[in-house]
Amino acid sequence: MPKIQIVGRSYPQIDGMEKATGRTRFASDIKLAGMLHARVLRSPYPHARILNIDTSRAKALPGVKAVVTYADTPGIKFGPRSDDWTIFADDKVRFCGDEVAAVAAVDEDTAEEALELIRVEYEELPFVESPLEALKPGAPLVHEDHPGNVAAEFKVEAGDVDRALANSHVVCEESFYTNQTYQAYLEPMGAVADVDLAGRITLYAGNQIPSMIRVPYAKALGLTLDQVRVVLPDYGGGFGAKMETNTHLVAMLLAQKTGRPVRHFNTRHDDFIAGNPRVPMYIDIKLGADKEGVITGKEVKVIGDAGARIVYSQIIVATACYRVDSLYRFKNVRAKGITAYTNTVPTSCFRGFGNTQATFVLESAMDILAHKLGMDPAEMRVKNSIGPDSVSVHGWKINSCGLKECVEEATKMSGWAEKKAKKRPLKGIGLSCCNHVSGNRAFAREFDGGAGIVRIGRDGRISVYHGESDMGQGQKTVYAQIAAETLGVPLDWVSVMQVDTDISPWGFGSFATRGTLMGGNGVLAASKDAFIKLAQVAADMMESNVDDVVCEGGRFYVKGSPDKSLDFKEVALNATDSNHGSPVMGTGFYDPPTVLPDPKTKQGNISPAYPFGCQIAEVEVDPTTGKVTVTNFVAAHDVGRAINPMALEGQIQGGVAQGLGWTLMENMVTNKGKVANANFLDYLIPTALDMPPVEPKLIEPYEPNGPYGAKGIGEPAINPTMSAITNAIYDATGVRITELPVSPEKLLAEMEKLKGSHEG
Amino acid sequence: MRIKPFEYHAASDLREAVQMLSEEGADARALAGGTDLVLAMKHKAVLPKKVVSLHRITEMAAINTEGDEIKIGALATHSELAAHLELQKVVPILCQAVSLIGSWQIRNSATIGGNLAHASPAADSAAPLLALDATLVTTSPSGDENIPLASFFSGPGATILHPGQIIKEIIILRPQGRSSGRYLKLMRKRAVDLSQAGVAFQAELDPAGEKLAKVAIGLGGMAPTPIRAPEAEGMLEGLSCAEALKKIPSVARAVVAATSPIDDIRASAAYRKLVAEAFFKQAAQEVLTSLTAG
Ligand SMILES: Cc1cc2nc3c(=O)[nH]c(=O)nc-3n(C[C@H](O)[C@H](O)[C@H](O)COP(=O)(O)OP(=O)(O)OC[C@H]3O[C@@H](n4cnc5c(N)ncnc54)[C@H](O)[C@@H]3O)c2cc1C
Repeated sequence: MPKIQIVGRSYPQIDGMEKATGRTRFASDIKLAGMLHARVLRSPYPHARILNIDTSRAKALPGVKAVVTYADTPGIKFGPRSDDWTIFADDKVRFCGDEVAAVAAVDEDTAEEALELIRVEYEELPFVESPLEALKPGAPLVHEDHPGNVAAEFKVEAGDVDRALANSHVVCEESFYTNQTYQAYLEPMGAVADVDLAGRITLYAGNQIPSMIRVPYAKALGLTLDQVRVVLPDYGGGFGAKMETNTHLVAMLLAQKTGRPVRHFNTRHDDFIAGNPRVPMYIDIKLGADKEGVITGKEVKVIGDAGARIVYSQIIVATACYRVDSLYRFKNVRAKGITAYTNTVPTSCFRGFGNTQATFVLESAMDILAHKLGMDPAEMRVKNSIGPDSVSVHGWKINSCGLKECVEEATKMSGWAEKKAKKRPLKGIGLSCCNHVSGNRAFAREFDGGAGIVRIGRDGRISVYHGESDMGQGQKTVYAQIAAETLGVPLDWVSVMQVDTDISPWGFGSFATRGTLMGGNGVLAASKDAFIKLAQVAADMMESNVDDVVCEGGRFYVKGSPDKSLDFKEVALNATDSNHGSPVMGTGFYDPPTVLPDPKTKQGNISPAYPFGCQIAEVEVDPTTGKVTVTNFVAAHDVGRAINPMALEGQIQGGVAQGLGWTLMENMVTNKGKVANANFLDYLIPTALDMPPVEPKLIEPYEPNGPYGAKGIGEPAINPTMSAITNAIYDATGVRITELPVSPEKLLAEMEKLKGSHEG
Repeated sequence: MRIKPFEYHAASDLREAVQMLSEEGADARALAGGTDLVLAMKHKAVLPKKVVSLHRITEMAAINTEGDEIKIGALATHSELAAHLELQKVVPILCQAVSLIGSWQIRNSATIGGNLAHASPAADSAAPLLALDATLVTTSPSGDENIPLASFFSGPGATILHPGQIIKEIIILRPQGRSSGRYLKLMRKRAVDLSQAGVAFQAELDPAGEKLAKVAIGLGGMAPTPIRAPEAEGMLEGLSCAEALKKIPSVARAVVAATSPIDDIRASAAYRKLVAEAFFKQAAQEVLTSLTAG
């Protein structure tokens, strides 16, 4: 075999130049002939009965082609994992921003003007803003058929937690709160929908699950699955938010009503108030350790805020209950999660999927225990670290695991030992570890593999079809590298095709850090299939055996005699001609060794591979303002074998930036049921100036289940960031942060309190 | 968010501009950099029938530092002001303040006239200009009128300008003795944030270089309009720098006493006061020390 040449090398994104020079057509750039523009009228109240909607004046406005409300929908309840959605509010609105009506008009100005002409009579109802309030007896009900506002419950238990905690040398018992944050992608959610004469809809939508999204959409519109086709344009980021949304359905419904293409994109304001922000969680933890710092047991109680309907919050809460248990060698764990409805914006996936929240809590508790024991927090992590070739408390099969190496590298790079030893006032250093999955069988239930199609044309051009979703993270480049490597051709011979559900394989999409492993394995299998088919033609041309044929740099040769070679393109031409025009088509799939967890015990391996990481933050605290400046940051991540180191480093730096933003400033504030800061003036995200240097380090154990040994990075990049920073704040000030974000005002007050208690 | 249709004119000179603006009365708006106005129009906070752009009136962007009166055209952008070498020498406090406004992109189009006319209580140019005793030269169809900045603001987002009256330029008197100034701004991140508290401290020595002839304290985001703290100033005037340095803590309390900030999503009133006090101490310390070292 020729040695690996393209996998493992840093390449700029294959579509990077197009994007950087403004040539890429993003989802919101799409214009179809005759296209109408839609706008949605959203509820101004968190909870109200709809008494009457009068759309007559809006309909009469010149340029308006359709005005729709719930009455114009099939009235079918649906949802990604629930049946609590309707396309527009039925008898009542359940959050500020709930869809009430929509207009399609010849241009956006007219559509917006028409919204002002719709008259809605509401009867305001009492509402609940917080999940803690929502769960109290007598709280107003968000959905009448969900008593107590309980949207879902989750329980998991292994070992004997009570005994373990009772027999511990030290126990940390603490309550944490993680707030609501917004994904802040560059391009708001939206789509263009087009309907043909047979009623078949094509939806051009930037979204993370182009195949899966069709299922609830078809149901909502009373269509069969084959009547909904999704085409995936380039789009401006997702970070978990861009899955099912009524924003798309509004465009689809209006396209049906008007018979014309309809474009509907959220304004930024609408995207804030009716997007899919992070699930806020109240998490109580009890974590015990023995004298040596070995963890004895862990109990957590999680209360998560679903908002007014379930997107994926209940699975996110479940994830917060137990995924982090595969970071260390836990034996006794128990968790209970409740997902509660409130009259606030529905919440959902955001990079980390509950494991961010849980990691913040566990890694804060680990820090607390290390301090109680007078032990180096890094040493305590290493001592408890799960190892390679092990099985976690929930039956997860860990193959490769570079967690210890991550801690060792990160501590070395940051000068951890020296800095810990030399305490400087108001300066601190903090460490946090993380684990994650590369695909989550508990989420993708039917199967959780990946598939690919590789077409080699008469001209030798290679087209790769997949069903996942590149939102800017670099998936296309990774797939091109895998195909080029497997086929033995230069990278720029490969095109990675737009996902079109009429052509592409069914893919579960981009979430759960699964793209590289699942989709990559699918592309790998298809590339191998295409290679064998083409190699057979080359073998015939060279009068050799297919097993002896290799391809390198676009030339086929028989092993051992590279000087007598055949041009790949010549072989492709020959192959197509002898098949009367039929291109070489490779197909293939990956069947991961995962199982659906047992519904009762939750035992079962949910992912083929598990990435790990360790991040270390250094901070400086300004004693007059309470402002925290992160001065330095190192991030060592076990990513399996790196396919594109440059892209991985970008993912790590992006994850840290997002985590830093969350820790220090990002916060959706709800006041009287309304998002009070639905704009980038008061929803703060860090600028380049707020970022410290972030030094990534790739730890690369070979992962037997990964394509070329690779695992994922998307979510682990952010998982440990929050607690790395808050542990550093503790080191600098003695203040233990239990609530995100860390506002300077709050920190200052806590520092004052500490001062008082020392003096007093 | 869409902008409602409106009539647009680009005035070719000052006279035409004020003529057009006064014809439409309160329904017309002048447009400078547009970084406040366009946003307000998108949010339907203002719905002008007519917008008169000033961008063609190039003399309104001039900065003249030759005489004793430093003249800054209302259309000068924050970038131009921040990078102006002579201003950096004579009134560095102003350059510091405007260099903290928004982002590069905002500073490249936003103007100082727009910053004052928009009359945000937190406007970053206002506190230092108040401390520099700036005067505004305004123009309307009935002629020019000089307005001291100290009497220009009438409330949050409100000024005493009447329809058809615009700011032509800003005049600052060149400091006579040795002077120094410092502006400190409380932000929630390092760029692109409005000030939650802005403290401007400007001091000037007498010709002998011994006593503080003038002390001025400007405060932004601490009251319904940008304000001065005259009582606090009076506590320092006439003192030597060494004497003044010792009085900083008590003056700082007088500074805070002059304020009446609000609680909002950006910061609580108590926190604004706490930081304003600390910022005043820091700014005064730096300024007085540099004048001592001089
Ligand atoms: C992202 C962002 C960040 C910002 N950050 C800051 C900040 O950090 N600090 C800060 O102080 N401001 C900030 N601003 C506000 C704004 O940029 C400034 O107030 C700016 O100086 C306004 O100037 P302009 O030329 O853009 O005014 P415009 O928007 O053109 O005009 C503003 C108002 O003033 C009137 N006007 C303009 N020129 C004149 C004139 N010559 N005479 C009379 N009236 C006039 C207009 O009719 C309008 O009512 C920010 C704005 C944005 C969008």
